Amino acid sequence: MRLQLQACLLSVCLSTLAAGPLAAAPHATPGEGGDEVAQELVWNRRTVEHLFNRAGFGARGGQISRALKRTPEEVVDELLEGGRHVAPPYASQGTVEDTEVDRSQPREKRRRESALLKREDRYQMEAYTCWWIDRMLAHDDPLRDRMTLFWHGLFATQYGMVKRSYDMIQQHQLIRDNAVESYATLLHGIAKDPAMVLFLDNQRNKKKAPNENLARELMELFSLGEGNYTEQDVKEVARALTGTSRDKIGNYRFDAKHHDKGRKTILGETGRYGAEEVVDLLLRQTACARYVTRRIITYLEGVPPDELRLVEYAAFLQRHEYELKPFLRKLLLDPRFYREEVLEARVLGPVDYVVGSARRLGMKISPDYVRAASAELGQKLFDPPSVKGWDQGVAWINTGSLLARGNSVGLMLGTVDLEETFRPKGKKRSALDEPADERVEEEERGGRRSREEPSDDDYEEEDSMGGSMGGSMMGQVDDDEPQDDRDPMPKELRRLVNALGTDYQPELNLCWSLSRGGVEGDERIVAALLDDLLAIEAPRDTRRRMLDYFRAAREAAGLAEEGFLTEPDRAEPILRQLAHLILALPEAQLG
Amino acid sequence: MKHSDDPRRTNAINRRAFLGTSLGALGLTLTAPGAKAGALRLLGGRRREGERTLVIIQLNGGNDVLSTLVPYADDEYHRVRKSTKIDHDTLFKVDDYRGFHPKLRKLSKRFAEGEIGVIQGAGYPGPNRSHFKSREIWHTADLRGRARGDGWAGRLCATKWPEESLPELSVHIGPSLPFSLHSATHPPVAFNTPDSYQWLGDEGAEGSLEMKRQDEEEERRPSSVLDHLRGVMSDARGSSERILEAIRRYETPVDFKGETFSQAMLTASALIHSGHGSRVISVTTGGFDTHAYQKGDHATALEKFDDGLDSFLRDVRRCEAGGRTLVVAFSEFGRRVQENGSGGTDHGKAGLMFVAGDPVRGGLYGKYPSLTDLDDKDLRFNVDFRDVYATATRWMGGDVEAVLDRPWAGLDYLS
Repeated sequence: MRLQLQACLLSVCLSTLAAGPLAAAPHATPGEGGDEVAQELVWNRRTVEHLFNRAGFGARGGQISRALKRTPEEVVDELLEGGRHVAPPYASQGTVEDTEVDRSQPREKRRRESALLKREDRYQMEAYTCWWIDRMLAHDDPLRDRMTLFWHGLFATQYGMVKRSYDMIQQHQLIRDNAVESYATLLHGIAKDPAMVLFLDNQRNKKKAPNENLARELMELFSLGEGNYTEQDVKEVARALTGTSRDKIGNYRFDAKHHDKGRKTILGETGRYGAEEVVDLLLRQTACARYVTRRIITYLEGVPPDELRLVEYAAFLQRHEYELKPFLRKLLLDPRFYREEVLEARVLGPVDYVVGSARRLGMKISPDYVRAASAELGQKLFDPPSVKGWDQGVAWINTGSLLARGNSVGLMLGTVDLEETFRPKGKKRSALDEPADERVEEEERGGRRSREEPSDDDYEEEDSMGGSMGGSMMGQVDDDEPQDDRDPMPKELRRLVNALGTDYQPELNLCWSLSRGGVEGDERIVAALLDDLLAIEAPRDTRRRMLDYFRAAREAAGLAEEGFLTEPDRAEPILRQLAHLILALPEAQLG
Repeated sequence: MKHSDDPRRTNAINRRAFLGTSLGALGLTLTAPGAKAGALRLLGGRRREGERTLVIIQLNGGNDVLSTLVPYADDEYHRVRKSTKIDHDTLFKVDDYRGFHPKLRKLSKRFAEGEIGVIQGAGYPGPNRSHFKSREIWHTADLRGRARGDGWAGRLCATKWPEESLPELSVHIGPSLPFSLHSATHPPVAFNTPDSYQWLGDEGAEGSLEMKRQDEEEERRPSSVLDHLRGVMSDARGSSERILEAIRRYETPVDFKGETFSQAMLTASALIHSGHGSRVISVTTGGFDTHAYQKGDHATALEKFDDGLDSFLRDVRRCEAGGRTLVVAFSEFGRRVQENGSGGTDHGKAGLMFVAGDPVRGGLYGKYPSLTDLDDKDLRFNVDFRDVYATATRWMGGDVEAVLDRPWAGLDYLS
């Protein structure tokens, strides 16, 4: 009883805080027969932006104003409804012959052919990654892509180890198609997913020689969480998963002869379980609902839920048989989702940061750049550092990654000129210079080693080279590439420059956007940019600093405050520098 | 980047101390670990004399013992490594049982001169053959892995230099920061290469990245996460400027290859020469996860390691601080005794460690693991790596029990 009272008081206090001095007056449409919930939920610019930050990748331009004219239910329902379906690019599955080693060929030839296949496969993986990033940038179905990114980190699988883009793509399609639909479908699918099976060695899990890898992660990371099962349970689940296998080209295959048909006792229940029965059993556990609830709420709010809330939502999830839409609707319309503790307190992950920056700038950016930049910042899609996925929150930021974030946005904006900064000493730029692409290609040919597809019996768990686990992340890249002696530009920057492409021109017109919005004068220009580019409200000292910088830059260029925007040739570079500065701030890492 | 004498920069450290007090007065709990770092650290970045440096090199992927220090005289070796065995004639023989891989030319020369310690059979009980889980154990010196909360080198920094505010007290050079340096109160500085570790935008904008002193009192909405990030920015700006200065001023006659690991070791050496206070420097080098094509790939990986380590040892000796530098190299596990069917080997258990630098008394330590008395088909360890860490910890002046939880006796590899 006391606990409930305290919880009540707490939520009253929190909602008072939320409606404190910094929040604008609530704009909630008075409910005509409206929801209880809508009347408590504070609906203003700040909370609307927050919704788009968490349920999507940031709000852009008039999106906030338009959303404010509608009810929270309408906006949330629209997010849940989703957008148009865009088909992914065709992915080649390859043939069994490709995977086999022709030992009649000399080793060098085999190695070269293998390297070629590997490269083609990598291109296919990158192309698909770019398709997904395009979806995020287009923001047609933001909640789906947000949840896909979440599940992508939960059902973490490494392309570097699976080495087959087709398999990874099929897994991703399973996840994306069910990202806001059903966790039960996801768990069933993942338990037999060919990429996951390979990643966690389940093709080696046989009655005569069990392998516990998939069984363990299925419970520890994908459903129950640590401490909710015993080692004996792991062994028994492993037995149930024997025979769940795959062929060499990413098709699921059940190997009856390797399957242990005996009775297994798992979490107190006994039966002749196979993979499907195990998953059903796991779904019946309260621990499963709790684990999934905790993971989702922690991800979307940035803060783990307290026990009361956890119990409430877990029960709800289980009652709805792990359907995700009702769960998400409940969460996104929960006034507590908009509490002060949660607003503006989450550190943006690299993909969030780069996609969000592009969206807030209103600029077109190549998905390949987003892919490359996110990898440099520590989030290489399809290649998490381990089966645990990526560490969230402040773990994304260390001294190196913080500076790298600003630089990556600067490259996008064109305010960072690396060719100039890293000109080879004493060498004038000439038409005879090797184009940047070739240099990196050479590095890749020389440095990257090829790997034959290992036979089923001998393959074991492996994680991506150069990845770290835990602590802060910098770039997730293969650290075997040789530094090209002739290229003074550090290769982590060369990769980004290559991803932008030669003769890159930012597709952006800040001058035009600001004048169209009727913005005039130093203060209003700075305020408008801060408002647009930061996902959080800028502290006063930051506003002052940005204004000082802008004013000084404008004056140094000999431009008057009045009519500043009427001289785009000279105004635009200054505006871009200000935009760059803003997006490099610590504040810009929050959302 | 301009290296201006910006008064705001030197005040950054004072600012964090000040912020610590004001936030304390507000009674707010600093939940984000780095915020604590900002609050607790006090001024103290002066140059110190006579200080020692620990360089930790991680060989990523699981370095194969049998191909690195080859037991060429062992019949079992020839039986289990038919396609991956190293040619007897190409080895740098250590004695009539074992020899170094041909690509460890420089290392074996130093070994012959008593400068390299090789710890044979290093590991820990209940070994884990998963890259990430085993690395966690090596990084935290704890069988629970990351549940420990911090890395062993991070603990060393936090316990030995609790008042130190210099962000680059511990540094990682390379793309992926290992957990060994992790510490809530003393987060490491990490950067890929010095050249990319700087603000590359408009020079005039750089100073506006950080809060000004006079604004601190007016800042009315302290958010612990934002405060933490501001602390990181402050650390980044200061350390990047100092590090760039140290690297750019540095000239050496010693030859360093252009390859990533050698360049990272050059940076490490330059930092040591600059003497401004990095005590733990971490570098990684990869290519050791040789499930297939082992002969070629492993040779490449060893050569890179050999080149980088040798150039570093030659270079670091040119300054006094270099004589007080200890290098410890490890890998997250060794590899299987029996080769697999793909010309390679799979994950194993016990591995090798190397120690180098002037403080080291060269030679073989531990016992070469038996190829027949195995731990479920893998090499048995006979030296717990925590003993190797303990010696290094003690040498750095750290408290072994505080850093490694038990009063490890240590392995006696120092002269």
